[in-house]
Amino acid sequence: MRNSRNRIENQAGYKVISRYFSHFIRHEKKYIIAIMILLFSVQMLSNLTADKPLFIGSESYYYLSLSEQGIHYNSLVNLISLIPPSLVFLIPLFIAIFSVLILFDLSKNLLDKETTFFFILFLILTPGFILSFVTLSSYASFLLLTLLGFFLISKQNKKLRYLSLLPFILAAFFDLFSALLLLVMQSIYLFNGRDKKDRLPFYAAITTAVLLIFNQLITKIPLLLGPFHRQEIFTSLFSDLGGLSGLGLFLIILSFVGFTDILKKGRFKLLYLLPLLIPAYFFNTDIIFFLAVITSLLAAFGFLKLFEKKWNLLSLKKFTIILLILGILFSTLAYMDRLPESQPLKEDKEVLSWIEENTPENSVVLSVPENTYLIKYFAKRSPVFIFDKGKNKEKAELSKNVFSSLYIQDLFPLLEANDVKFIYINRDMKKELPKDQGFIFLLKNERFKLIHSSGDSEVWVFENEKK
Amino acid sequence: MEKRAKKILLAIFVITVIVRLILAFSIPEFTYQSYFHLRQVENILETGAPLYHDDLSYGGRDLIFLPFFHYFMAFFSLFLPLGIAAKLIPNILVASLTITSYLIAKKITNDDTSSLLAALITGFLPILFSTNSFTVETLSLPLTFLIIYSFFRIKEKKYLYIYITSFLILSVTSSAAFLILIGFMIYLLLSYMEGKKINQSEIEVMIFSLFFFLWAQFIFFKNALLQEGLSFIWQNVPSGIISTYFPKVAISEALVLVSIIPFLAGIYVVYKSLFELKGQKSFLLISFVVSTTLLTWLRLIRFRLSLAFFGIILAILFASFYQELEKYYKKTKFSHLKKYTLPVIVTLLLISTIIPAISASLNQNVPTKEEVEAFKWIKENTPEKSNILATLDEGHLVAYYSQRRNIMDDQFILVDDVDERFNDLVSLFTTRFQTQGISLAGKYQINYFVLTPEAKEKHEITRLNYVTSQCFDLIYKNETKIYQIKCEIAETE
Repeated sequence: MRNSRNRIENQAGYKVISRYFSHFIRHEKKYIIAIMILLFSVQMLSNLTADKPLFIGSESYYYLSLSEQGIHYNSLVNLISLIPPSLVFLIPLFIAIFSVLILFDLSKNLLDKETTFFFILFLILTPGFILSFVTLSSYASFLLLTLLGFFLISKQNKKLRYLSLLPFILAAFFDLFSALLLLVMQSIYLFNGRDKKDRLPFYAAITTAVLLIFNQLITKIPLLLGPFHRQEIFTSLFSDLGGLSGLGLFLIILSFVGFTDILKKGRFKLLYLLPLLIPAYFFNTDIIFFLAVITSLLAAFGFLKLFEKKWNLLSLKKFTIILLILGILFSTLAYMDRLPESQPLKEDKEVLSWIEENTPENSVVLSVPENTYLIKYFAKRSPVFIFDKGKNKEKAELSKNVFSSLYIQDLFPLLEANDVKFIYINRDMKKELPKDQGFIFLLKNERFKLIHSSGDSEVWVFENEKK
Repeated sequence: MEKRAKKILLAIFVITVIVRLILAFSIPEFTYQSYFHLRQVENILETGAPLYHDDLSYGGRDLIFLPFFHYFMAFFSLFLPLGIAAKLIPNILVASLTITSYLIAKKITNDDTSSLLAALITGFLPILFSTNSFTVETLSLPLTFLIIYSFFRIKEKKYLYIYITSFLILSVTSSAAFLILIGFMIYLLLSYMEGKKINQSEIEVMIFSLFFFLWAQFIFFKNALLQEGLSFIWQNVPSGIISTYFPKVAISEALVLVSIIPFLAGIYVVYKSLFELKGQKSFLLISFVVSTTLLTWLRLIRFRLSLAFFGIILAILFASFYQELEKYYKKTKFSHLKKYTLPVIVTLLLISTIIPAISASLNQNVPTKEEVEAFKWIKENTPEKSNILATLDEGHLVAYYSQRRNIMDDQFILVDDVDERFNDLVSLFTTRFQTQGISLAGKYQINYFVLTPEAKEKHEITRLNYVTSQCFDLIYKNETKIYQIKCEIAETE
């Protein structure tokens, strides 16, 4: 602390930050947690006042519907089963707060105070991370368990250290990719450990490796969970371009500055994860969550690099600091502003609940794959398509064929072959699918009848002539 | 600056202004796009704010644009009638490029004669001779070159403030400020590759500019970015006219518009500077040439803007060429002919710039007086809530003169199904089938069809093929014809 304060005072340019932020840095935990609670409360309150379901996106409803089926290998699902339903909405916030508190503790030995502060500040302001504390997310749970594991293993107390195996084991059961990521992190820890005689990191890594094989052969958990939303590689990366989560553009630019800095300083350890994360992002954009953590850290390095450096034009420096902070805040606020627009909306819940109450239990409901888990959770019915292209390529192809059909001669046989009786249409589908041709246009055919609607959400019935 | 050089520069500036103004006032109308900006300025004068929701464009829609230019012009319109201010101020602004070109060229060459030649070329660049154009570019181009000049002198406090002020204004005037940032990036890259050390203040200014530009664009275009995503930067231009906005570079056209002598000289200077590593300053200008070329190739900036930018830089680089030419002469046996160099070059420049410049001005794409009368007639003789069919270019005339709703104009951002609408608009002029024409008219609730000579030329038609007296009344008959639609397509029982 003393060293870092000296560092602040010794550098003329840094005085600007020192003046405005030394107070925040001194009380960092309080402020960071207060910001998280504020963001969480704003989101939850806006959902409550709009009478919307509390969680946005499909992923939460995937776990909620799984939790109704009993014990599962995914520890988040088990946690949901254990907690009273009225308190489930608090799980993401607690996961996020605990993760941040552990990050503070772990960073103590690895980073200086300012870097830690800006890293965690940027992280909690990043849409990729915000989404994780307003929804139920496996990757957020994985992060907490992994951090907890490293937190315990880094302690002096032997019992606590062995206790670290428990979160590590639980963390290996989300998907194969997470287990692999954990193994890489454990290997980095193992090879960089100061005490070469310490065998525990080795046992932890071996356990994860064994579990990885076990999961591949026995439990057959997927390589990557989801996807839970439409995969758009570029848009999902930038929250400012309308991605479901993503990263702010200012943060990305700062992370490039930080990246060049750590390349110069030779602090590569963190970058070992990137060859794993970047290709994985192309398979599933939900990986943005992990990229958000690394990008935030790099951005913190970049931010400090920019302002530790002595500037010739001091007034420009002050202005640039303000712009950077405003830019990052702008991405966050713009994201928070559009979160209430995310599905499911009040009318989705109403229409899906109507399906549950008014249709036979064995009905099959047709909708776009993005609505799979909403149908399962709210309507308690089987969707035609499951949003998992890896598992079921044929179904994914079928979905594409159904929603791009131009003629009833193409569409009707597909609906009949899949026993489709009910069709669920919502706002996003109406926005995405063309109106003057294709599926939405074909709904004008007499074999389709609108039987219930609320706002932009509708239920249509299809008369299957074969039956 | 020498007193004589000052006088000559002032003379070039004044002559440029006078020539431009004579041409501008000899043509009564403005270019088609100008009418959008005129409406914005008028609205600012009336309400204090631009029209961010326009009831007339596309039958009613939200608009999104950077407003500084409109406020700037509204300020002058407080003292002058808008019709005069809209011709006077843009032409003075564009003519002021002669001064910035001179200053930049002087900074590079430190030679008055060659810098004055650069000013002369800039003053009469044919691409800049759209004298009746009341568009954002008339402010953004002079600002861009003022920024470049102040960047050269960034170490001096006065120029630092000029740089910051100009950049702030440019960022809220035109997204073309992006061009400067890309130029800076290429400058950094080229300097890094050549092992050149960049001044610390320059880097600081670049960092500030990047973040300010991004921030300003986010503030203004947040919704457009969220709605259109990455395609926002291509401005949602319909694919049917993308080749008009971002055409493939036709060398012959480019040669005429940027003038052949500066073009060839500029290419020579770029080549020499890149491969023989001249001064840092021309290096920066070359970075802007590269960035302009790159952005034009990626279709990120409109062809005419890139050509204008390119032309001015080539004019400035001509100063380097002339300086080299003079040095070269001294080394040859023809050094006694040196005294003829300047008159010959000035004569050649005058021939190759002034004639195409005046021709460019006289051939500007402006509506004829008769066409304007027809649009004014609509205002007096049709119900207020009418929808009027006119070509894409004439869309702003419908809104400005007729004060009626158009079907389409060239403000494409935030428009849904822009391709479909554009194709329908073209079909309304070109289809041979009455059912299609009337059905499309019904789709857009069109009440009146305007067929101007410009529309006939644009769509290569002599008449609207499906117009018959059963379904259409000819209510205005001149060179321009206006039809009122009487039929509609209804579903049979």
